[in-house]
Amino acid sequence: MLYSVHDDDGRIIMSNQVFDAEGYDKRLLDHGYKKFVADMHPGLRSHDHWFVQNKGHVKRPKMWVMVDKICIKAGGNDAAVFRGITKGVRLNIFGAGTLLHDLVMDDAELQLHIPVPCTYRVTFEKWPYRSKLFEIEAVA
Amino acid sequence: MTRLTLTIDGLAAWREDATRKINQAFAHHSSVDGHRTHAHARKREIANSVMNGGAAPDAFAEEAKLRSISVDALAKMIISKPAPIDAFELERQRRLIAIEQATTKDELDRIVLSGVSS
Repeated sequence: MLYSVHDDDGRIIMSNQVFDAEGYDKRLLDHGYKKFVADMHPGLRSHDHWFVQNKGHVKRPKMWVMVDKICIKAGGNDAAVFRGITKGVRLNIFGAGTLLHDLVMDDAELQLHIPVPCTYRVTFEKWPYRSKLFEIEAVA
Repeated sequence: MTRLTLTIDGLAAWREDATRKINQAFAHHSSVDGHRTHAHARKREIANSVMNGGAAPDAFAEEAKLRSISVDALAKMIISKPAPIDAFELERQRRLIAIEQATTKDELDRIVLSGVSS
């Protein structure tokens, strides 16, 4: 029996495959875990791909954001254009591990110009969608 | 269909990060080497006083005796050496100015990774 403990939004925070499930509900409750579901799935389910909704495991929907190129020329008019962005998504842009931009998008497209050569990580996150990560290289 | 246009300039954030790392590295070096730096500065003050006819404190005279030289000779030797704390600060300022002038992430990384020497 697969048990998944989750938060108020359905994020799985712990999964256990239990072979003798008798009394396991009580053990979870005794340890303070009030929100959990159980089903007969063999093995575990990835927290990145699944969440809990209506008392069951549900696949996290995909975001269909796409980018036209992952390598652009730094400093010129060249740009990477992202399309299909889900409204209300949180956009994070990292350069060399430093967070450079953090904003919530209302637009469906993003045009990114990069003046300084480096590899940049662009992430789109919105619950319960699966997060999307792109690496954009800006070359001299 | 609306489009947001962004220009990502990481240099400002990377410069800030590099400045923090350089200051941390120099502060760490200074804390490790603090006694020596402080002692050198104090001895320079005493050496200047001795050269101007002042009396040498006991510890200074004792060091001269240990080195088998006169108090004046010790004072001259100390003054003839560069002041370590000035050189140390000059080096820190060199790095900070280099950070301001850097135009790529690689340049900033080289400045940060070049280490601290006294």
